Amino acid sequence: MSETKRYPTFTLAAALLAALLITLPALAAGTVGEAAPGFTLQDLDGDSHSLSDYEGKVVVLEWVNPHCPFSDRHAREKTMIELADEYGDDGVVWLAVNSTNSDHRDFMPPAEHEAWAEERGVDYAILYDQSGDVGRAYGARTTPHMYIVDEDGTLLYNGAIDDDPPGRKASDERTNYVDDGLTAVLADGDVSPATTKPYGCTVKY
Amino acid sequence: MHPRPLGTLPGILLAALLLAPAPRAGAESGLWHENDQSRVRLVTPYREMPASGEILLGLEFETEPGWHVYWKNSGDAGYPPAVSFEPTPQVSGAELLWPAPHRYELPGDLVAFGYEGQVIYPLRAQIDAAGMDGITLAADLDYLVCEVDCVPYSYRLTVDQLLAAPGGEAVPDPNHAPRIATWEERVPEAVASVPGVTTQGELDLGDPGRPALVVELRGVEPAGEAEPELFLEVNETFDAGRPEVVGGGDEPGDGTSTVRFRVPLAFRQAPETLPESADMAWTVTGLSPTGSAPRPMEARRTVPAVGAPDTDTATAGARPARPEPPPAVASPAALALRAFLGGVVFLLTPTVLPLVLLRLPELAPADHGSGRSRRDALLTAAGVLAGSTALLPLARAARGAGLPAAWGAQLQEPTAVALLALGASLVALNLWGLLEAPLGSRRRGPVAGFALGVAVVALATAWNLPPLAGAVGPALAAGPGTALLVVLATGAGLALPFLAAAAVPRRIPGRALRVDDGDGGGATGSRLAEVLGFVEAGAALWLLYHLSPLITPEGLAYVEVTLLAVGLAAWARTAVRRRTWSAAWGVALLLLALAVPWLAHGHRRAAASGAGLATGVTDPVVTPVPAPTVRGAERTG
Repeated sequence: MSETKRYPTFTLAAALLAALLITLPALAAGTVGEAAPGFTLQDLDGDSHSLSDYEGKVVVLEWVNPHCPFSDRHAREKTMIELADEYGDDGVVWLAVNSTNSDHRDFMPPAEHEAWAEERGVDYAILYDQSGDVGRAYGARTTPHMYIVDEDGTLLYNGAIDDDPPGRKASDERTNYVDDGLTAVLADGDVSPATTKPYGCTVKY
Repeated sequence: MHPRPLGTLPGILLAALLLAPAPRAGAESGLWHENDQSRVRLVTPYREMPASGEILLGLEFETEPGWHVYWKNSGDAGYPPAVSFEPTPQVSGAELLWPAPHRYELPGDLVAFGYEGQVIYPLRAQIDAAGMDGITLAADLDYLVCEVDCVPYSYRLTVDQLLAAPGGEAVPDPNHAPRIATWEERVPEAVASVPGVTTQGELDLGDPGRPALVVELRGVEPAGEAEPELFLEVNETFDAGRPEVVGGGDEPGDGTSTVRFRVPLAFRQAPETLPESADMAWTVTGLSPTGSAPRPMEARRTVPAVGAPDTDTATAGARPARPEPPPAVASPAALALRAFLGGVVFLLTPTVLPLVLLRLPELAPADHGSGRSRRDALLTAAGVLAGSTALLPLARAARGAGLPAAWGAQLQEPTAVALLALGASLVALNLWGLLEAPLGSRRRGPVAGFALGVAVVALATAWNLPPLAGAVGPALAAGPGTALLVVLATGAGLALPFLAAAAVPRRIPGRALRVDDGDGGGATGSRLAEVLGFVEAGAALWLLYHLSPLITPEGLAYVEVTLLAVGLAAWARTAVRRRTWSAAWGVALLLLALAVPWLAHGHRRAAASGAGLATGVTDPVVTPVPAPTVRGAERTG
């Protein structure tokens, strides 16, 4: 190829690459069907957890804020705790992420957070995301906001825990989207609905 | 009119009536349910509700400063109020309506859409309760009130409501009916029903990683200082970013005024194939149909992806349908006739009638010829027409400030109601001889007659009458020419007695009813003035009753005491003999009069605010509403 003809090809390739890089963030922000954004965060004990550590396992991410009445209600009602216990036997990993800014009044130091978890019976890892980078990468907007990642790292569900924001329905009348989604994933079925509108307090970035 | 000492009796009665606690308006409202952040209740616009047909209710919130409740799309967090009624045989089909929202920017680049301060969500339903005296409407409410934090609440709301007698008309509640109507007017209307306006959209997938919705509205222009805003309803396929105005102006060729929005989108789920179309619904605010007042509008479209934008098509890819014909609107002549009749009816209202009854005898030819009488009558009529015409820019200013320009909206503004109460009180004092004012006195010249005409119009605005209410709104929407015709027709109705007097001055009745003002009047006229003073005072009391839910109880007490002080100052000014003391009491009277609207303004209850931005998906949080619970007594006899 003559030199004069290489430039258009090179330019085209660069443009395509740039376009790809530009579009990737837009698709990666919690977009179901795409690769879940990777992360490495520390839990209340200072131990690191990376999404890649759980490759080959189904992972549930729960955005949490104990000061949010919705987050705390579900903790008191053991909505997530019972699911984590039930599906833990099937190898599902449950991680809570707290993206509260450390300057915000809702921020809980590790000891206080540990006390809350013990009081509520939360026995899965709670990860600190004080910078909010992971929350923004996933597009987490509320507490709670739920995500299901499959064994290959693909995001399969993004949305609410259930269809009962006020918490008025009886448990047998409530549709628990995460419960249904995990059942489908473990049965190699399709998660439906794959997206719902999350409810709760805003994430305190 | 020359002051006629009447003694202390009217003053004592006025004091007693003014100091009597004004009854709380709104008997047709449920109890408030209060918490630290907000309070909520059910309200109805009726003293007597229709026993059959469509009814209107209101779900009223008041929030503390900084706290908000939500629109049907709450935004990034929160959820809209959910109202559910128990199904009953009498009431069915309840539907919550959503006034145009406000947008709230939250930390973390998050947004919420809703309302802060005061909001009434209108509720429509069907009722079939013939034979019943009354019903109790009951509903379960779940809602979320948020500032930075959010607090959920659940209440059972009830309101007891009388029903109209069989064959009888519904009786509106003078307090709640205009308030609910105000918020009903803020519910967006379909673009298809707005004359001269069309909208279309397209899904721009030129960059699949950055899809966008482009919405164009034709026949609209930005409304004053308010920024045009577009709010998307919840959508199952896309999350939405912040809409921006990306173009518009007068189109080359036909010169149609256009506004365009671009809404960045993101797929919620990576599509296997790009969609050919998308179902979208949007609400726009801050826009006016060309030549008309601002109004919120909404549209639902299946927008095509890339390619020719659809125009009122039901499905993407279909041949664009012909634009629907604009809806039928009452002709300008019909609106003018309605307005003229409204003006005539105003003559019978307690604030206007006394002025007319006292002015007419003064126009009768006495020692001078008919020419002067005709001139004075025409000047008074000119004052009425000028005052009516001045309502037009006031209505537009109100609409530009986000208030509805419908007749009756002034009765929702506490400052305006306080001014009207003050005006009626001053007229009463004048009629009792406690306040000298150049209202049409023969000795004060032509300007006084013109001023009286303007005063007639000002005091007529104290009443919300159906004929005029049904004419003003459509007239303002139809265009400036029709609006001017309607206000002039209203003025013509109000000025009818003066126009008739100008036509046949020698037939002006009631010469003997002229007030004894040292210029040829008699005792009969003076007594008539005193009686009419009580009519005006009654109107002032009614206005204070109307003011009571608009301001705090303390503010109402201050207004009442200040009006009493105005009366005292007026009496003192006429009672003292020394000119300096009289002047001092005059200054005090002026200051006290100015204090009345100032006190009302300073003690107003939380005003409504709010706009919001819709994103994406329809959220099924609001429970479909079957019908209210009904408990009531069967009509006997």
